[in-house]
Amino acid sequence: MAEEMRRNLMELMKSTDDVLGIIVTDRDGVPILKVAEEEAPELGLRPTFISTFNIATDQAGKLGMGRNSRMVCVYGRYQVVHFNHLPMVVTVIASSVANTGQLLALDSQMAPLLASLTNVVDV
Amino acid sequence: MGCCCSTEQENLSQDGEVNERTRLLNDPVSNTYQVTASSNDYGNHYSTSATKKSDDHSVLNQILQHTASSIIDVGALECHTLEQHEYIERVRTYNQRVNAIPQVKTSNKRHHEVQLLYDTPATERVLSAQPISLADFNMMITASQKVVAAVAQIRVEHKEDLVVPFGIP
Repeated sequence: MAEEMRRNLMELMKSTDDVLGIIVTDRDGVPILKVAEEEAPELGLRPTFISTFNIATDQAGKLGMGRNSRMVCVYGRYQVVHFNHLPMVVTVIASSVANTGQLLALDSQMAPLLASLTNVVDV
Repeated sequence: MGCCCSTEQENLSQDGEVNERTRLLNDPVSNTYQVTASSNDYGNHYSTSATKKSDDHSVLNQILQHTASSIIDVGALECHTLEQHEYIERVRTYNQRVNAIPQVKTSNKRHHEVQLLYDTPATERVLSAQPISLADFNMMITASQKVVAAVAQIRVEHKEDLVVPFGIP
C-alpha cells in the first residue's frame, strides 16, 4: 500500500507545475511519505527544517486569530507551504515561481490520502 | 477578629463589605464554593477550608498555565531534536504501519491514456497565451537558421602546443 500511496503522491506532484517535493511527516519532521525531484533542496526535506513549523504554528496560534492551519514561506529560489494536520504535517516544496494558489489547493487534493494515514502517527 | 474558627466568615464575605477577608479574585470556583459552604455543616470547617485552599491553588495554577501557554516567549522556545536511533525507530514504525494500511480505492489517475478528458496543470496559462504573429514566427525561423549556420562554422583555431613541457630543464 505504501508504494501505491507514494505513486499517488508522485502523480499529484507532477500534476502541479514547479513542485519539487511533497513530504508527509509527523510533528518532529520524521517522514511518513516522501516524494521529491532531484532539484529539491536537501535542507527543506530534513526533519530539523520541517520540525520548526510545529513551533511556528503553535506560536502563530497565540496571536488571537485562532488555530493556524497553513503557512507559506517564500525564499529567493524556493517556496515552502506547510499544512497543519497535526499530528501530521504536510510540506510542499516548490520553486519560487510556482502558483501559490495551486500549491494551497493541494491540501484538499491530498485529503483522501491523509485520511488513510491518520492512524499511522501516535497522537 | 482574632478567632481562627469564626463562623461569621461567610456572612462577612457576603455582605459586600471590604475587609481583610474580602476576596481579591472573584472566580467561578470560589463562588461555587461559597454557595455550597453556606449550606454545609460548620463542624467540618477545617476540612472545607483546606479544600478551599487547594481549590484556590488549582485555580491560580490554571490561570498561570493558561497565561504561560498564551505568551509568545521566543527566548524560551526550545527546538526538540530527535536522537538518531529514535528517528530510525520511528521511520521503521511508520513504514510498517503504512504498509499495513488496507488497500483502499483511491482516485486512480493511471487511466489517463484511455480517458478523453483529464487534468492538465496550469491550463489557464496555456489557453490565455496569445498566439504568436507570423512575422515573429518568420523571424524565429531565420534567426535559428543563422544560429545553426554560425554554430556549424565554429572551428578550433590551433595556436599553441597542447602539451607544454613544464619544469623540465
